[in-house]
Amino acid sequence: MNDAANTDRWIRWLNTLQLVVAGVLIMAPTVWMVLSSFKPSFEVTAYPPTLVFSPTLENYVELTRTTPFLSYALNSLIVTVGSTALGLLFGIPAAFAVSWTRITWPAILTLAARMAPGTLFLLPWYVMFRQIGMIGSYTALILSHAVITLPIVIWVLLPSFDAIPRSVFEAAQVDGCSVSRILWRIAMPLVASGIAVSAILAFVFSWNYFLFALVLSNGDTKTLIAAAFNFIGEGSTQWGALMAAATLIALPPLVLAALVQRWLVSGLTLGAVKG
Amino acid sequence: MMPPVVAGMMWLVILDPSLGAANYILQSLGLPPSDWLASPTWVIPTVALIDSWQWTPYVALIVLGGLQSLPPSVYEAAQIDGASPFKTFQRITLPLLLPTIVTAAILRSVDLLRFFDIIYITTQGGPGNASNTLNIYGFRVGFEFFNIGYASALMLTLTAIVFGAVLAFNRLRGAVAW
Repeated sequence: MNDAANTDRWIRWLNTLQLVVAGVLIMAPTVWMVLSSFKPSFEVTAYPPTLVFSPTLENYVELTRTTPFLSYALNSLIVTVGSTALGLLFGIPAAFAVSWTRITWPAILTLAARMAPGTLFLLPWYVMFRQIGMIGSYTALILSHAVITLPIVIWVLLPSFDAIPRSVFEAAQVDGCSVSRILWRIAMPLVASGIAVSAILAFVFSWNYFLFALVLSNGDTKTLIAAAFNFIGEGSTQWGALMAAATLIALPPLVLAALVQRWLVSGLTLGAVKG
Repeated sequence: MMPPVVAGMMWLVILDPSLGAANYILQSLGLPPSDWLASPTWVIPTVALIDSWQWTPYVALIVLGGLQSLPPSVYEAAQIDGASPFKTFQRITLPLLLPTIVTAAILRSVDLLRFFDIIYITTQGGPGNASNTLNIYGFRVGFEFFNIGYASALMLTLTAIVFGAVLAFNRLRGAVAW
């Protein structure tokens, strides 16, 4: 009996140790990045690195002064909100239709689209958008980012729609409700929380997406993520400003992901795992 | 959910060969410093390290989801049979969890066969060609050398490889399913 209690204590102790080690390994680089962004410029590159310093906002001021950070941020916001809205506009009816008709191949097709490398889409888009002179337009960016948001919306909403009992729809049909009205008045209110989660996940993934904006944007429409290169170029001497940029870029997705933590896995795996 | 690009920026600074915090820690432990991303030998392990750092929590979340859905009755049965915690893990948890682990492996491989963001932000495939992946190469052929046709062929091949890997993994998942 005593033996078993001892083993238990050992296991609990090991568990705690493991959690602490994993936590430190995971958190330390991020903490380091945030700390560096508040360091006075001469201390950021100090060697050996310093942990104690008087925090300053000088890097953030420097960042907004030397780079068009705010207009990049606005570009990111426009593209992300636009592509999320587009993803919802088409994704909600699509998910409902797949759930309603049980014809699943269109949903699987969007999954296949997510498995293909982004460059595969980017090449034809580039050729097309160049021919109609739309390189660098918000439209091109929003359309391309919808490829990211659409599968997320569909696959996050599909289980929610599936979970609504058929009898609810049948009752509505008996009362003479058309299918589009069922979606609008009955199904959508029932999956409202699912829609919110899918919108947030779509926003996060669209915000984080790098590849498309790298090619399809120009100086005026560059998103924050695609502008990361500019910051690195400037940051070769200005680590403080670079880390300030990194912190600010990571902030919106981190906050939003924390909000939907519970559903994060379903968004990331697109229905591959039932959690 | 930190953007991979930000992870790249962050590690770029931490792993800086001369002033980075990583080399300082190595040196204070009495280990030789590394060139990390600037070394042709170490660049692949280094980007792998950055990616693992970013996505290990995600794999843990998937596995946690799998753990929570395991039936408690098997564990009660094992306890009655007097199985040790280690044996329980080895003979019950691991086999029951294998499908989940394979799923996580599928998702990660699909992402990693197309590994782009972190490599492109940190090295663009360099030094030399040391960290060039098919995806990076295809991107550069298409948008730096503007050989769209060759780049498309490369990307279709990569897509075929990804689908092949998914099919193979799916077979594996079928084999370990319970």
